[in-house]
Amino acid sequence: MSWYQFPYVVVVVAIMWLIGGFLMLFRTKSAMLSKIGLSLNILGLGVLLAFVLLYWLDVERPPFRTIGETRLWYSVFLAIIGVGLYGFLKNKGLLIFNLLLALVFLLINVLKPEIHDKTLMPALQSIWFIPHVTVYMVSYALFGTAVVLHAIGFFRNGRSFVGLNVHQVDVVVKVGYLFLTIGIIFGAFWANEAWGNYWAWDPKETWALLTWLGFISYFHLRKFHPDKIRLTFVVLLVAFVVLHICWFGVKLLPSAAESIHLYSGS
Amino acid sequence: MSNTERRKWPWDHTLAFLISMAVFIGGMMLEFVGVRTLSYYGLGDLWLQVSVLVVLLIVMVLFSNRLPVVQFFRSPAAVFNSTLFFAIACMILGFFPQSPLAEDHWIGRVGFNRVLETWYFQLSAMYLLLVIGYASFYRLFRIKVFSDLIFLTNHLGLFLVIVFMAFGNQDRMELHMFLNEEQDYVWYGYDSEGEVHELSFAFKLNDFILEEYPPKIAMAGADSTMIVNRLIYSQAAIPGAKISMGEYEFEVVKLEQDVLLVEDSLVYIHMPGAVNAVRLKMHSGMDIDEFWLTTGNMTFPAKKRMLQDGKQLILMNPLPKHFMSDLSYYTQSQMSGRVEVEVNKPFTIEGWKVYQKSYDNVLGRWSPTSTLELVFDPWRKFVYTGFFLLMLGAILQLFILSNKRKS
Repeated sequence: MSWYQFPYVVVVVAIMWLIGGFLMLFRTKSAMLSKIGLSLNILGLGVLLAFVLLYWLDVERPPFRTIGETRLWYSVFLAIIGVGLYGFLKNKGLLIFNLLLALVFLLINVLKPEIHDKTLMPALQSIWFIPHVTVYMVSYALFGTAVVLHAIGFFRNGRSFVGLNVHQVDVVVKVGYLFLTIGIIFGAFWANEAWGNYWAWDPKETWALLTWLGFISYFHLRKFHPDKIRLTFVVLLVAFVVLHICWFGVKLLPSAAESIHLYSGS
Repeated sequence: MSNTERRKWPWDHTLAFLISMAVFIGGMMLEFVGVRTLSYYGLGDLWLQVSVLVVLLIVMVLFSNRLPVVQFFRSPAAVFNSTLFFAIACMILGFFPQSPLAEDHWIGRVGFNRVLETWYFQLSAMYLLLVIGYASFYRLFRIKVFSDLIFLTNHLGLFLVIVFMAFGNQDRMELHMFLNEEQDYVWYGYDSEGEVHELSFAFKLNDFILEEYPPKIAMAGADSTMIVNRLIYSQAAIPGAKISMGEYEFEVVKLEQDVLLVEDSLVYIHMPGAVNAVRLKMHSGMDIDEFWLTTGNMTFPAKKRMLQDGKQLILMNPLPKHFMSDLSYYTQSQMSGRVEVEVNKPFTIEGWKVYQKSYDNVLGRWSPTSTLELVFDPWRKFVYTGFFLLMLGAILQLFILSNKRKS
């Protein structure tokens, strides 16, 4: 299974998720349609995971090197988190919005196909490569989920946050923060093993720190001003934007010329 | 807020923001007029600096109930403003390239191209450090419940990281050592300013080894320059592989290394200047065509193939898969041995970590030279301690979540 088959996989997954999401939202006295919808969503995730596994075997290296591959993992983790949280929270809206967000990133990959090959440069041949990138993509997916939860709470309650279960958002953000912290520190350990400096203020590292500070600000705002939900949402959104600058916006900045963290093909 | 509370807490967010902004802009003005920060001149022994900081923080804790200016450092206003202004300094650092500019350039005048050395960065970092340090020390003397321990783990961890990264940087040494296979032992390295530093150990390069991936066959647009990101397709030239590129089908018949192509025949050589060559069979409708493609180097140009629609087939220079230096070493303490140093696998000797940095890119796997990077960082273990505390703190704070859920 190579990247050339990816668009066909996306079509199959998109059909499953769109039909599954529609069935779950369909208002009916019978729970059967909702269960079929959930099954389709899980099956779509299974198809996507199968593609990732077969693609990994095809390229004969961990598929974390290119921006397209990280977007793929982001979609995978968004879907896993959506399904997983549905098991705990029974929030249909969260699952469906997570799958829609995952679909958006899959479509971006289809529209911006990249040249993929089996080469892995020496700097990436490290035991830290998979843990660092995996943990980061999980944290990004969790923060995306937190934004989705907040947004659902906003629009569902007449553009106010009355009725929003902020504690649920806190849980998701705190778990995301855990993964983000581990991801940054794993990156520092790797940097020290690769080029002798655990923190070189590379633009990517600087924006990663800014992302981390953004979510730290979220926690402190929740602690000191727990009633300011609207401001909390703004801080969460700003931190999420900074996250995307760190992820793929760095290459557009003037400082990109000095960065050693640009994805291959950038 | 009542007058009593305002006397105790005279710092609302607006006032704190204005003071922080004034300090930040003041820092930029100092940069503009050319006043260097104290760190430029060196700040002395690290433990002396840390001791001064710790004493200051303990004094702040002792006077915390008597002085509003001290209490400010635990206020929400201080937390948010210190984070905000440090973040602004970091955004400038992350946006502008950090490289020298012409003296009169406005970016250089305000220090946007050397942010780490500026007043506003160092002042905002110090402000953040005081807030974190004071919060940590204040809680250190008031541990009562488990959540206090979690608070300390997170904040002390960050405090350690900042202190030893910032203050310890002056003691960090980074040298480059240039080795040649025909040279004897080298016992010195060069810093970033070209100054020589003698070492207590020496290295000799026995061999520089570089392993390459198979070269890639690529189809480029109709352009006289071969720019990688204008490639339409590329695939590795593995013998027997069948490759599709758009409407073209190819089969890789043969891949040869260390050759020269002379009038459609190969001459086998094993020396710098040799190229890689791939023989392709192209199927185009009923026609079958066979031809050679070669990589290029400074001695011989690449052999390309022009296609009917103006596109061109090229064989790209192979990318490195592994490269390492086979070294012999000895030390003043009479230790000796042999080691292979490669990327992501540094070697530690006499407190220094030795990294495989680079080689002669033009000669590639024929490079007789290797550049090593030698790093001495005595405070790294303290920073790592801070990292571990941060990770532990992030895990422990999930326990607060589960307790809240139960309650």
